[in-house]
Amino acid sequence: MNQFLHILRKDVRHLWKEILISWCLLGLFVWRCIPRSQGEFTAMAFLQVSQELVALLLTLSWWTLIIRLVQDESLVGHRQFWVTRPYRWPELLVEKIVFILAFVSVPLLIAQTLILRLNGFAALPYWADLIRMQASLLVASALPVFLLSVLTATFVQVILVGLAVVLYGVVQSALIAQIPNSSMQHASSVLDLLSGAIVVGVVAAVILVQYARRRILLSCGLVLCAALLLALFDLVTPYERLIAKEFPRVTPPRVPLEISIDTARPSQSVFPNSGRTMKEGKKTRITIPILASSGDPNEIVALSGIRVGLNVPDGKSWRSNWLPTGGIVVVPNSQEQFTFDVPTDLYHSLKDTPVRLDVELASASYRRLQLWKVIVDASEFYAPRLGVCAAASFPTDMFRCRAPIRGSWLMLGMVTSSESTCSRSEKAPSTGITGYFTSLREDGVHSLLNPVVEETVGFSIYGVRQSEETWKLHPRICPGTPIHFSALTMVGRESTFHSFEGVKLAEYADQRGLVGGSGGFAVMLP
Amino acid sequence: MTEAIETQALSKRFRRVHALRSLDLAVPFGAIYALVGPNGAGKTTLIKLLMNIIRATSGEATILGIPAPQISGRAFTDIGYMSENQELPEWMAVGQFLSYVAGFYPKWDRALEAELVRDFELPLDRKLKHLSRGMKMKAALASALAFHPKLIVLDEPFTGLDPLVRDQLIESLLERAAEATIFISSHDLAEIESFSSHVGYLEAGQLRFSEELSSLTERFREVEVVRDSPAPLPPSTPASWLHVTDTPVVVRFIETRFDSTATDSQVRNVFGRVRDVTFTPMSLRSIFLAIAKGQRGATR
Repeated sequence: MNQFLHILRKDVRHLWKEILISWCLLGLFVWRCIPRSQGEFTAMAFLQVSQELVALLLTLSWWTLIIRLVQDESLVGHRQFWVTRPYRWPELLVEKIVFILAFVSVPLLIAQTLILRLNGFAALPYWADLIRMQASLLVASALPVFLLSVLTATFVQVILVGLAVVLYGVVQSALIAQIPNSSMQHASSVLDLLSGAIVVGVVAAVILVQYARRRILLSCGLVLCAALLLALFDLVTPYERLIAKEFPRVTPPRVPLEISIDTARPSQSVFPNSGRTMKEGKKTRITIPILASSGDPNEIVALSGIRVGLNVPDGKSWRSNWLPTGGIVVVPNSQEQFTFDVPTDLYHSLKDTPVRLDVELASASYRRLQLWKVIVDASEFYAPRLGVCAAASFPTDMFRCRAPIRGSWLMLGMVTSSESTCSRSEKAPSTGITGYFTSLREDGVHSLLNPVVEETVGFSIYGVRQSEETWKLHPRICPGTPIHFSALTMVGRESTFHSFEGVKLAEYADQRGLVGGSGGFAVMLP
Repeated sequence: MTEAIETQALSKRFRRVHALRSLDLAVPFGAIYALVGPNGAGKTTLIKLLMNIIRATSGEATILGIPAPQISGRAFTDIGYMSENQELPEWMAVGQFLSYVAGFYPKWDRALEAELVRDFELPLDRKLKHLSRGMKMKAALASALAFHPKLIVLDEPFTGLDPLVRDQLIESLLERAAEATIFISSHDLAEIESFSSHVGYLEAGQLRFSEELSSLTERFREVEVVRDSPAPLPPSTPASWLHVTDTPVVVRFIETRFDSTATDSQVRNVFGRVRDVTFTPMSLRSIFLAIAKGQRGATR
């Protein structure tokens, strides 16, 4: 214990400048998190950047502090004076951990409490969440830097090894992207759990080995083995099976989503043609207009992925991999489209042949629950679940809300132009326009630093692409305008199968040529 | 436990380089043991093995009865170690450094610390990074002596120091000699000759010999034999004679097993009638040079 305090005193004396810098940046961060006045909302973009910059500098200052702290008793090399002194390694390790808690975690906790208070929220109800944020920050940010520091002797080495780790991440991501179906959201597997256990186990083992024995080769070997093992796990993960587990095929009589080919619309892409002549690529993009409706009017459907199959009468067939896609079906008979790429050779051989198009859609359904109404106020107003909200100016179709750490945030908001309190000149020319705001996030906390989550609540009409005239279709919100909110609950994730006969690919080929490799989905109001 | 340091068949290999080869060493308690040898002989490697800074490839070593791989933490409260290239916390002032190090030793002697600071003329308020090499070495030595260690291990402590500083360090060491075993490595014979009680010679990772300095200097003599008349050298000479050279009348060699009576009669047996035989004591430097030349000659 004496030794622990003795080393702690030494580290504080040595690193007081770094501590002071991090505290100053923390103070600046708190100042940045103070709620802004109405007028300052217009400068929101600038403020956002500044806050992010401060957060980045703050994180860098913590990393510097941790690196210098650990490397003050460097665990790599043979010439450090402390190695032949009566240091007891458990006390040394505990001292480093306590130092980080005392000079990084505790000040941050105090700062977060202060941020909550300054934003008008009581901190006490959120202490458990704040502690959870601290733990996440330590695991996500401090632990990797601590690991790098115990494996290196100098700051430059940390940077070089850090770059190597980033390179490994980039290469691994690039390799995984080549594996079919890997980009789709999927259920966690035993391999995922094993990967997590390996990462935690290896990090802990390396830190312990270094402090207890200073066996750098063994430690580096452990890290390399873990990296290879994780890459191997990615290769052998049965992605298709896990997607099937995450999105089981829907069983009758349930029909979460109904779709049909929209024959009334032009068969070209709804995206404006750029007029450029693209060089023919290896793949050809097909865009098919669709009408989509939720099977249950009380449900909205969020699309996660798409997989298509082409079947020719002579028995030839082709099937794509699962591709991630976005899109939310909120209103019945939504105009939408799905997009996929087929090999150009195949396209040319099939383009004028009627084929059967099989579409599998992976989606998540949410049921609307209780409703509540919020009347917009000229100044700040409170909206249940959204927190304290304010608009920069009126009329508007968006406002910003700030709330303490959120859990899951599933809700649907609606505003109709017929209920708008804006003056006639401010109203949109069309009546009966409904704007929707959807939030389907199940993980609420966005920042590990700021406990006050600030969100833009924007109302839009689904599927309408921005153009010079579309602003007219947006609902106008003014003081007194009611907004209707529904809480949502997830019904489940599932996949649906749809089949369309007699589809001629030539009618749906994107004339701009190939762009990317992903599927797409969008919804339009009728 | 009769030895302060003991190794048995201690070996260390760095990939294809054998830094130490099956080393057997015994350093008795109370000795001032000088480990000498040319650069690259393996002296620093041996000391790092003893201090558990690196691990042996094979063999065993015990320090104060503790196996070397277990030397850590509390074991260092009895061992004072200093190396010529040790990295000190340079951001600390000398006073801070000594106070900080003191916190780790229950037996730290403030009075002795003050005495060492005074003797070494250490500027307590000056940062280590602003000190000369000699002053840094003095600060490091002070931190390695002020807790009355039972064993003092010094790796090339005098390298690059001016004679005055070197003498100060030696003087300070000798003052501790009564209460500690001192193990010191050096490639310079002259600097350890004056105060060592034991000496070991390490070359190419092998310990050529290890014994008390007095017995070493006793058994080595430069011998000059003046014969009555010119005669050829006998075809064989005793194995204990090194570097036998002759002129028509005078034969010179180095006797490695000197005993005044026995050597004299041995000379007379080999050469018959001789006019004069002189035995000249040798400096440690001359002894080592003779041994080194002998080893290299044997190797060739």
